[in-house]
Amino acid sequence: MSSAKKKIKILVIVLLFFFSFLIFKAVESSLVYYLTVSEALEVRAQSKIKRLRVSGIVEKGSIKKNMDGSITFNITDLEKSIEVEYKGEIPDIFKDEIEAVVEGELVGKTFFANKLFAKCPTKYEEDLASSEKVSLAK
Amino acid sequence: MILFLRRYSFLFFIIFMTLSLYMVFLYAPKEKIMGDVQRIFYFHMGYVLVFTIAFTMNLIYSIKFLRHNNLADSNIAYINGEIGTVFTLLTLVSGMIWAKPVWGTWWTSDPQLTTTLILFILYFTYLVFHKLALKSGVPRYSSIFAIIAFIDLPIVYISVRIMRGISPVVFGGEGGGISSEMMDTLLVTFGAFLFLYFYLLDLRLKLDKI
Repeated sequence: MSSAKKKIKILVIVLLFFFSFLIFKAVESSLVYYLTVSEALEVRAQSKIKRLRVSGIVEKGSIKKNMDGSITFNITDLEKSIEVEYKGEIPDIFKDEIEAVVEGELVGKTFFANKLFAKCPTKYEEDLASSEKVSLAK
Repeated sequence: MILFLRRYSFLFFIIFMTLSLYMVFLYAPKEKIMGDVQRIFYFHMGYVLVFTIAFTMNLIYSIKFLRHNNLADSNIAYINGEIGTVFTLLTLVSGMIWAKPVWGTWWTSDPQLTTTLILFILYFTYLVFHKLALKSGVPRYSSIFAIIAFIDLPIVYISVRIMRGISPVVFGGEGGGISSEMMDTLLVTFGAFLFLYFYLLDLRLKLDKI
């Protein structure tokens, strides 16, 4: 076997390992992209892990704007709910009853989030009242 | 059939794309929650269609090359790899533009996003590797690499269904689907991108002959 062929063979093996590793890492870390509210409370009670990514439905009427520009709202998995405090950029579609994903620390029953994402709907519907604008609660 | 597609693909692409643009911006209704930005969806899905076809063709021609050892097959596989890689990048970019206002972030470690990024890296590596393997006189290795890289394509589709993520499942399963006007628009856009794929393939094959 010529040395060029040998080199290519080694390169193939190295690349294979590299990509298997990448895929494994990706699957491992995003197998649970987020926790539900109940799971988060459980994790918090059982371990010392502080930073969590939690998803839940924003409770109707729970969004409040604070004086310092932050917002508080409750997210729920329909069993348990936690209060989220967040300051920063708010996604356009964020409002009552949508699914939100928050990243931050859970202290007691309050979640101090430094990232807030909104999950987009899985059903695309026609907007019948086109003039109606999505807005934050008072 | 192939000859027909190669000869008239540009004409059909122009017809379908004109209709598609009209439908995307004027015919399709504004989405209830996301608003006008949801219109990115149609092109986003079009890019997904093209890279799915291109990578599947890449797989078919890679296997064909391994079986018959005809260098022309290896070249067709490579051309499909090129088209697929470009459209994977377009998918990622259009997805990011869509995600910024809707999710509130350009990027997050969602399973589907991660596996799509890996898909792009894999095929980008394939493109570089193919040239190297060809130069070293062992083009078979790049075909083997392409077959292995293809494993990630179904993972991109499955990941969103079996793992928790932020990327939505719109069709099938728990997805809510789309309204009928949106579906018409999507199908016409798919038509446009299908002909665009054949047109690009034809152009690229002609380029090789020069």
